[in-house]
Amino acid sequence: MGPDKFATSQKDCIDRWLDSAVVQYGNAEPRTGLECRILANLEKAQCEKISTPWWRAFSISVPAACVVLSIWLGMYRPHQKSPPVPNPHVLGAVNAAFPQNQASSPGHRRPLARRATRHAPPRQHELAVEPRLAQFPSPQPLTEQEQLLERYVRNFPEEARIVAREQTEAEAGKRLEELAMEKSLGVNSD
Amino acid sequence: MFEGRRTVAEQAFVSEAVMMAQTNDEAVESAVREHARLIYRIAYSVLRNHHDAEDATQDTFMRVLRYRKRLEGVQDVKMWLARIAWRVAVERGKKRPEISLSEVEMNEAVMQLRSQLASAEESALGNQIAGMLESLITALPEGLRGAMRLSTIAELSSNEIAEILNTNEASVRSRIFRARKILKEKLSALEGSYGSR
Repeated sequence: MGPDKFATSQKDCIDRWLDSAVVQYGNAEPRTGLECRILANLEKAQCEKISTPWWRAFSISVPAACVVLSIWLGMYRPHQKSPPVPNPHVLGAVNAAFPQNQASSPGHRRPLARRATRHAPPRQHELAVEPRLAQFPSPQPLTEQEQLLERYVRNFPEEARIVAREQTEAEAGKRLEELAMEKSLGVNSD
Repeated sequence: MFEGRRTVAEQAFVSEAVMMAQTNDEAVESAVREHARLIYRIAYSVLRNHHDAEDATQDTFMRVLRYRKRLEGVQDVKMWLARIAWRVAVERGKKRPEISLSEVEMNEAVMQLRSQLASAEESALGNQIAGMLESLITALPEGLRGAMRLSTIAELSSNEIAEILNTNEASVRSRIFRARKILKEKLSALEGSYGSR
């Protein structure tokens, strides 16, 4: 037998061996009862799918609703136009100086005070978050002049009342004069 | 009157839905009974592990259950399932570490190969030889590897392999021919090199 013939026969041998090896290689048998196991698992999965929708629906819808609500509240709260809140320090001082104002409008002070207390914490929070103020007057600490005024009203309430009354009367007189001027100008122009 | 009509319509609708669901379930069940073995073999050809292959088979049918409405419109259920199984197995195979034989195991495998070649009788593949063949197939270029693996499954024709791999039959035949050629060369080289030691 020559070397070429030997090589050819060896190649044939490998070829045949590879054929049979490949057949055996791919001939894998599953463990018995594969179909039953698969069907049982599929049934189980289907049962789980059918039995879970109520809690799954809740678990999805409740957090989603919370998120939407919080976003809505967060978006619309700053845009709500809240009534102007007077500075509580000044308000207290003025009320102490003019008790008759309180008596004349007893229902007026309460809502303001309540509103002030209700809105105070979120407003402070808003101030901390964004520097832009949403309303006027801003709840800032009293200025030096305001502090002087408060001290004056507290120490000399009678004088302060007189000064305030005179100032109010002077302003009213000034306003009347202006109106009379406007009237006369209007008549002249006609 | 309207209430009565609505009730009848609702009942008809519900019964139709139940029938459809039953039909779908029956279709899935018959698919499992007919093709589970083929799906398993496809998975095994890639994963070379009974547990992994069974898990992949399970996964394949879970996907079928998820998309069972499509099953009605499928003409060739066998090929549809085979494509899903192939994708599942390849995805799983990527996560698995590659098998590599040690020097001793390789030596034993080559000794067995030599004895089997010398006896010229068809004998069962031992674990070592199967491992060696697996490592040789894994070392093939990617395009050839898939075709070669699927060609080891007796139930699949080259046309069906082409369908699974989304190519044409001629390409599959060519790939299998080239893969076998490479394997033969490597086997003869292994036999020669280990024999000369």
